Amino acid sequence: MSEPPLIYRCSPAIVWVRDAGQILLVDREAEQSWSLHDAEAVIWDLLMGGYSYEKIVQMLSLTLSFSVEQADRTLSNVLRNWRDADIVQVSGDVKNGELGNQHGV
Amino acid sequence: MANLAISTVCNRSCAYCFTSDHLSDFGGNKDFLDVSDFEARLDFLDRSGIDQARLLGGEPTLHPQFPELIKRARARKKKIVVFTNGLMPEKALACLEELPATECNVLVNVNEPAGVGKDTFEQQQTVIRRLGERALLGFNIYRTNFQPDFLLSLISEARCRPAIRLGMAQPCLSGNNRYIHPKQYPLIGKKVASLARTAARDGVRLEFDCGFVRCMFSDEDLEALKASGADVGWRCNPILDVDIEGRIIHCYPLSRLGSLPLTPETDAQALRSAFESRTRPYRRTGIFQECSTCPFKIAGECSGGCLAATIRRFRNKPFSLVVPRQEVDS
Repeated sequence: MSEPPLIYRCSPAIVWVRDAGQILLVDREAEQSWSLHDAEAVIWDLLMGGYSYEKIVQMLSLTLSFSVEQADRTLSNVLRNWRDADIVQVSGDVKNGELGNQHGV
Repeated sequence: MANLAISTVCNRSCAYCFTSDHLSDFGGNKDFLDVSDFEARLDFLDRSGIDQARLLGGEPTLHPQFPELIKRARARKKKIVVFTNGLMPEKALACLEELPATECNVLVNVNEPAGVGKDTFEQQQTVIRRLGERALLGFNIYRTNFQPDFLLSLISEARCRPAIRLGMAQPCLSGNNRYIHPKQYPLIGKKVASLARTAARDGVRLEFDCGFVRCMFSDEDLEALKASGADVGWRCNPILDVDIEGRIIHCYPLSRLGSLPLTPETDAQALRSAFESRTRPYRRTGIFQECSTCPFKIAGECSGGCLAATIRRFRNKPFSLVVPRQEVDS
């Protein structure tokens, strides 16, 4: 039996703004900020669009001319980095309706 | 610099007033600062090495013991700065009239006569005339079609200081007040530069409140401002406003960013540092998308505009992503 998926959620303290050439994230509680460029900025946009993991991989591959494998690896690495930085929080609990909300699932 | 609120009550209701968030969150408990608490505020100023007692409200002159507060501040050798709409009780006016002009600066914020009505404007005019050199006109720009020419005739008629303190209405974090949107800044810049040229001919100098940005002026207009002797600054710093309950905020527009308590140990420098640290992440950008890459902002020449307007650009949209287990385990 396969393990249930993990849910990555944006930390509630994070606010963000789109700037020229970057997306700036601010953690209101930790008083920290991060600049997202290139693939990270594209991924953030796609997450804001509510796309599924598979769809993000597909669109990342098209947008950045990556192979699907490369796009998958990039997304996975970015999510891991964001998890380590507490930009996203990870849990195994799926909230009501969460699986059905994502485009392309 | 720190401003002391002594009243939450005001006899005007300007649509652009930036105290609206603060007063709707905390107002209503108390109308005026107690005299004993005012002494604690003066202790704070002494501890911080601040030689001015800058009084605001609401309308500060409505404080029933306003003359007593002035007397106490003067006993500590503080210069008096009052932010008023000019509609003040006689006893407050009489008390300010007695102060030497070198020790007293009354910033009288006026709006265009057409908007406030003849009686109100005449009342303000009388107060400004009686204050004479102690009075400095303040004018808040809150719409693009403002008509500032009356200010020059008012200065000439009332013989107040030959200067105008220009403010640009900034949003509270809620956005519930009327304010100038950054997209409208270039239009405002043109009119301000034109005012500076006219004012210079009358020997009147423009001073700028916080929130103005360099790029709202063309190079030609910047030259005109410089030539007119305008005190141009592209500032946005923690002003430190102390409310009547002893809460200290960065400034009124940023009231909802949180407050710090006034304690017997608190000094302005420590508070300013705390607010700078709280706001630093947001200061990487500004009111425009281009601010984060602007050479003038990077060099520290321009703050990037009002931080409240900047923070209002930020979004807080939660997202969740279902990730297959093997993708993160690998």
